[in-house]
Amino acid sequence: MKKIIFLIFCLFSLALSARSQTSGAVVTTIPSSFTAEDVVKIIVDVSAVGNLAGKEPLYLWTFTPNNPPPGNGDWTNSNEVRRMTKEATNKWSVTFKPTDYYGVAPSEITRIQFLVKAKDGTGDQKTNDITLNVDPLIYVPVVFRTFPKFVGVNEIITAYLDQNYATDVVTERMLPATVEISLFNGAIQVGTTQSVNLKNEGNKVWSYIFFPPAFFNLSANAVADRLKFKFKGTGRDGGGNIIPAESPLFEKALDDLISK
Amino acid sequence: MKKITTILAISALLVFAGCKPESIKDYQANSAYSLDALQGQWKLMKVTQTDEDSKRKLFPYKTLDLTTSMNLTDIAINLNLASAVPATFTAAYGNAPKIFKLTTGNWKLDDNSKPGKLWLINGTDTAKFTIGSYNQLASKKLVLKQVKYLGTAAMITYEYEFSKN
Repeated sequence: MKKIIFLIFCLFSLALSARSQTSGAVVTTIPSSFTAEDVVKIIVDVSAVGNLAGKEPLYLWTFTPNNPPPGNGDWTNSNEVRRMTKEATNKWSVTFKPTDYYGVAPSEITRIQFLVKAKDGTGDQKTNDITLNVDPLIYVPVVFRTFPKFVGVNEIITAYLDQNYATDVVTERMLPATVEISLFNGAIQVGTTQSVNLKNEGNKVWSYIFFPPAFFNLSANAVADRLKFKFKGTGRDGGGNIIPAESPLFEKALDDLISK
Repeated sequence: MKKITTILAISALLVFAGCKPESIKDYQANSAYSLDALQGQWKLMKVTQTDEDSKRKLFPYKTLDLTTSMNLTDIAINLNLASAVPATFTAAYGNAPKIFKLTTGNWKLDDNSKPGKLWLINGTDTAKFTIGSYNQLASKKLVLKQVKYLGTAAMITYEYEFSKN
């Protein structure tokens, strides 16, 4: 019995180990969000993908919304048209406009799914499946947004909380007072979290405007790729007592905007 | 019938005779523009920020007036001439953030006689602007636009309206 349990444990460990060799891909897009009508550059960093790190060239294997002509090829022999562009060691990219690339109407592209693989994918020489959401072509109001939509670390940014579109009861019913704003580069925080008072724009809309370099007291060469926002205030419990309340954490990816 | 033919022939002759090539006049500098009009201390009076992506996609929230935000009207830029050409500049921010990043340096124009672009330069850092209508210079107003791109697509436009005493 002990041997069977040990065998099952070993097989389970092996399965987990094999799986971990295909995970760890870091995916970024330029722009940070996109519709089916925008040209998007998808960059995949496979440095942490055990089965792919150091291998080249790499290929895109896409299957949602479809496998567009002339096709991905065979698993053991990817089609050359799917060869990705090497950006740097272990960093591969592909650039396309989704409607052109997949040959379908924008309404049919709500997400893109793919993986990255070696020419011969035998032995799990691939990443796990990657899913990118595609923004709709029409404006959809949401609980959190920034103005402008695409922002960089050197832009004037206004963050808005619109409680009319809250998807959770706490955010919908709370009386917001402050927002905590943090800046990150990957997993590393840049500067310190700042807590500031919100401006009441009326009609359950709250805002805060800031210029990140001054707001976070950044050095001239500071690099960052996302902002995080948490709105805080007060709510009431079942007995009508005032209690602290806070929104979910909202993230905003930063784009690399340049002046020409 | 003969009369009609004659009238048509005369009309055709008149039309052809009326078509004479005109000589293209030489470029004449806009009287509202001069380097002297551009130099001096310019105080920021109005700032707007436009989301170019929202404009392209016909989304709401296209433009935001930032004039009363972050003490931006504290900002003043001093453009100096030396030997009748653009020379040094200083930018004072007061309580506003340093949105142009630069405080001192040199300023340059793409063409001193009919400029379209103005640059504030300090070492390798450059703030790039497009100059607005020359006619506003006559009323001591200077409009500078700054466009931020993602790849080749314009994403954000800032419009700064300065005035001079």
